[in-house]
Amino acid sequence: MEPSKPSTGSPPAEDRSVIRYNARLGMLFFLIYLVIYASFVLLCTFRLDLMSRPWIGGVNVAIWYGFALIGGAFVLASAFLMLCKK
Amino acid sequence: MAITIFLFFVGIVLAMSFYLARKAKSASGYFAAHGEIGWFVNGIAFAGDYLSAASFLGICGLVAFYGFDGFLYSIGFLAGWVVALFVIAEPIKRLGKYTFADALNSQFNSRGITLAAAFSTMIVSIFYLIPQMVGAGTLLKALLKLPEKMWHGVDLHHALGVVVVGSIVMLIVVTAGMVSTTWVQFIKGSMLVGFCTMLTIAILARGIHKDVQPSALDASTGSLNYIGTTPPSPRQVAGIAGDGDSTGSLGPMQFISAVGKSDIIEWKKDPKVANTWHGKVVKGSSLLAPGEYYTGIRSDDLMKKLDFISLMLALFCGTASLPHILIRYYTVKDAAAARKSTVVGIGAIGFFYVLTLFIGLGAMVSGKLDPDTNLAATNLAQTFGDIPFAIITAIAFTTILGTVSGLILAAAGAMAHDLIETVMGYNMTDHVKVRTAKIASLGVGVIAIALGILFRTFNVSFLVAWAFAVAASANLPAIVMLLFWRHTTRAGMIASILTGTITSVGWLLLTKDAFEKVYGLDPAKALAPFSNPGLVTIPIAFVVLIVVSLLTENRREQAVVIHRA
Repeated sequence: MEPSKPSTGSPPAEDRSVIRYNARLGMLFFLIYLVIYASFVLLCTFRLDLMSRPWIGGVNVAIWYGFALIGGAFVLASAFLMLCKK
Repeated sequence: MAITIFLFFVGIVLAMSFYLARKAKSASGYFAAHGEIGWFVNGIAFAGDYLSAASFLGICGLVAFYGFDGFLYSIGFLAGWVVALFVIAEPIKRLGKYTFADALNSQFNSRGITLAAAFSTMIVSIFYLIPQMVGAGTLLKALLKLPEKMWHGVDLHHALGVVVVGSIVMLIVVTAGMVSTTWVQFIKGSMLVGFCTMLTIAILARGIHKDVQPSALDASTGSLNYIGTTPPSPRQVAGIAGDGDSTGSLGPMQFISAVGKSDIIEWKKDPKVANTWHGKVVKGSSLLAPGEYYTGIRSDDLMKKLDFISLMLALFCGTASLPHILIRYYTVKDAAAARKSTVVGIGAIGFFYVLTLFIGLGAMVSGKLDPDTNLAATNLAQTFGDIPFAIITAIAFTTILGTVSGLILAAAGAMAHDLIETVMGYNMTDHVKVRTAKIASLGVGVIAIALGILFRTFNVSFLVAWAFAVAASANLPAIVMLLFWRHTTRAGMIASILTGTITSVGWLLLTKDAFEKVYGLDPAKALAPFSNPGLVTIPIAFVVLIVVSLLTENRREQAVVIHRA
């Protein structure tokens, strides 16, 4: 039996446009999240005073930001799912 | 009782594996579950695969001992899924068949790429296996209430736990394959999230109580010292906001706020005087701010700050580079199902990671911690009774079984499908290929057992961060550039994978942690300037790929850039 090879044939033109659209959308969402995540890391590293400050309900900014990053990932992922073609 | 419940859970896992083994006779069934797993089941199985010993035991332990810094792992581990979903999921599904090397090699049909990818898969899988095995040994030791029993620098009771888990997992993998692994992960992922939700509700209902050793405070000097044959809990609540000794039931954010307003004692054993511990009172607000574990954040030392940034980079980039996560994209039927299952996975994993903060803080204020950070979650469960303890321990154990099964499967696939068939050119029947993978599983399992015994003193989350750094350095540059840079060549990919793997592993072997805890050498003599290599080795792998690709571009072997097709 021949060794299994992945399918590498070019997709039809309609599929290519869908692939391109989904990929660009994914990249846009990725960049949005990257900026938010990188800001979090840099604030933790260089603006500890800001991240330690108590905020809503007496809980500090760092914890709220952490929850936002976790919740935000799910929100963006759900939006991506709805906006993707096919 | 605890052991009976524990054996019941493990028995169910094994019974399922044997039953489902019937569906995995062919290579397609063994490696990819025939691509027939539904997207919801696969999504929860993603959570089962991902919520390993590191997530459950390691993060909860770090939060219990160091507060917010443990939660940083939760944030970083989840953020990595964004890369997986938005950048990697669809193309990986479209290009591959059984292993991640299939996808990398889809444009080139190169044995060199397959060999390099198989090599990196083996290394990453083994690095990821180490913390799982360390956690397994710790758990079994706690369940059986076995004390430390040292022999030539090896804790025999911990080693026993590692050997037992290793043996069970090898039995699972050799018996079944991807079908059973997926269903085990689905059930385990569901149970883990469900029981941790119940544990969190119990923590909030109990609130926070003052809990301090009555003889601890030396009134004449004002210092905290404890002398006794039973060690104090490494963290205890010395004071809470307001009057009284207890807060009563609290809402989720009220609980975090109340921890912030509490005073926590950190006990440390006197290295010179037997049965003596010295305490230090720390403000809860300090524990809930970054920098209690990664102390470099609070210093002016740039290298220490870079270590933290490097860790967060590795966590962000690592998920989308883990072979045992990537192969799960081959168990669903198409790219849309891959996308949907990732979103389900992100929901379940994200929810669980929110719980880790509450479970960790609950353990911190429970007053019943063990000095081993990896046991915080089970110590906490024990404060609610033997049954919760048994259930949580059994879930943690099956967590490890499932994750280790997936990892060994990924490594076995790399060896049988990539290395022996594609690189060495042996034409194998389906039956022989599956049998070869099973033999490879045994080899990987033995290596994992040995390393699990060797690394027993590390926190498991810390070790997983190392695996993420190796995965991100070895695999991510090749995946991303294959998809998005039309000048990528075969030679560039091979050079990048090998460079990323070798530099990141080499770096880890030269860190102060390895010097101190593995070789027993003076950590000051370590050559690596900080612990996590990602910040250096990921960019190096990218640069190597670009330079080598540009140098070999005229050989007409570039990738057809998928997203520009």
